[in-house]
Amino acid sequence: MGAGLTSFDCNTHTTREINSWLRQHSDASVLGETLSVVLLNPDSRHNLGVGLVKPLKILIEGPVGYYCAGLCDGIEVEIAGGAGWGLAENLMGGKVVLHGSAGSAAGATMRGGLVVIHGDAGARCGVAMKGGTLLVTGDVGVMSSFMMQKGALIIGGDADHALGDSLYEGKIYLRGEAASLGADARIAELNANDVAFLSGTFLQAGVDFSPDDFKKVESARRLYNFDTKEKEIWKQAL
Amino acid sequence: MCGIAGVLRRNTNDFAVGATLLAMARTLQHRGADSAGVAVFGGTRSPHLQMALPHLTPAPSLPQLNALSAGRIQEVESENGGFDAQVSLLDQPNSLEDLALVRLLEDAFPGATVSSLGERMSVYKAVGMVEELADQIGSLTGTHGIAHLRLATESRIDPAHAQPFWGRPFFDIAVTHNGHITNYYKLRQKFEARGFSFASHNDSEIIGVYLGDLMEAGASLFEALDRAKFELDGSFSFIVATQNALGVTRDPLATKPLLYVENDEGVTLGSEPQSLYHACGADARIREIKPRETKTWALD
Repeated sequence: MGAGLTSFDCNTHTTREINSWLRQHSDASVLGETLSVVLLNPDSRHNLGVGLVKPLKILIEGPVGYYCAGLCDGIEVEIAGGAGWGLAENLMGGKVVLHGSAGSAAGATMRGGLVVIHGDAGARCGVAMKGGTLLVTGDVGVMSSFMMQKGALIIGGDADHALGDSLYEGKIYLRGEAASLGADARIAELNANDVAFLSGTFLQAGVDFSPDDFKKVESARRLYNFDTKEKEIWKQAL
Repeated sequence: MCGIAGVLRRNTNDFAVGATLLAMARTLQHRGADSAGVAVFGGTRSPHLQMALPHLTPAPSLPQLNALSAGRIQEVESENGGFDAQVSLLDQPNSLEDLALVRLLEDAFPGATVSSLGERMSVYKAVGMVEELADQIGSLTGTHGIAHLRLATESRIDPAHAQPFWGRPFFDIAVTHNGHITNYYKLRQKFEARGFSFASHNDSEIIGVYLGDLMEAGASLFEALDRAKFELDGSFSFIVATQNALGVTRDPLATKPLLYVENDEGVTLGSEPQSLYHACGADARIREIKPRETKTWALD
């Protein structure tokens, strides 16, 4: 995948050394064009490529562990393998592409950018999202998009229980079926804006989906304000 | 956070259980370095009991043990930190009589704990890193086994509080657990009222006892696990090993990881993917045990 590019062997370095090396290259990128680097033998190591806030293209040739590409802004990361928990957590901008399945809480609290998972995602993916787009081509686990506030979760497969539980705002697009919707989540029809957004995202992500096959899950907004007449809703939600 | 792992192979009686668990545990070492342990189920049957003795305590003599056990202990082999004794089976299986023997031994040697009793199960524990066990477990073979790496969050750090926990006093049952059982003291009180005793003050010890009790009353492993996931409260992912099977279950929120690779030959389970890639190869299809999912894998 990354023949001829500057590479770094994770096998022979500590996580701190790997991230320092990435930081040096991302700092150098600002002066000219964006640099591309390769990480070899990641061996599901945790915390690879975290806290990078200047442009850098990173190819990771194998599976990664927890919190890969977390707390980053403006980077492009492509991972040839699966990921553990918290992939691209709190991503501010940029693109993270995973060729495998992700563990729990992928794209948690992300604020911008695009995360594409070519596989399944575990429980609570997109939890507390505040922006950006998380696209999962396969299935997602329980409580996905729990307390989402902004942004979009696109699910190419099915969703496990409590999809969109207690979401405030933001959109969930679902191609398959949800085992159940979470509190205050409801199914809605796609409008022209949704179709345009999905078409654009599919093009950008390079996935072969049609917006026609998707339905939308959105907040019914019944939990925005407490009303004593609606105690039953709250009992159910909590 | 703790690390757990398990393997089961159906096609052979002498699978390298010890070496496989050791290799997996090394990749999970960062999840806990307070203590380590494995339970290996050997390919042949030989009823035996393992006892961990306090540091520098000499192993008791065979005549001493033979007299104490009213003839049930026939052979003794010392092992690191204790001994492994052959015991005769009762004419009628009776867990309360087995428990009586266990308590008799523990009373006779203050500070000692019986760490396993069974026909196929052997349990090895050490304080510190899994490397401490390498010499003991590296060459052990059998059909299945489980491993644990402990990051202690409550109760003391010593061999008695290391996992896997034997489901005392039931034959051939051990549990490796990542998480915490918040209602363990209530369950424990119920068992203590019935005459059961525990080797530690750790919450995880209740799981194997609870499951063993249900299975002795006739439940299948699957049924016992399926009930446990509703009666146990807390955050848990655990693997239970019985004489001929492995089983798992997780709590509804599933905040403790548990992944597996399954094929015709058996199953390999681990807290994190690298343990499975090391045991099953880079092409292994790794899946996650879902929240509140119960699964079991039996030998043929």
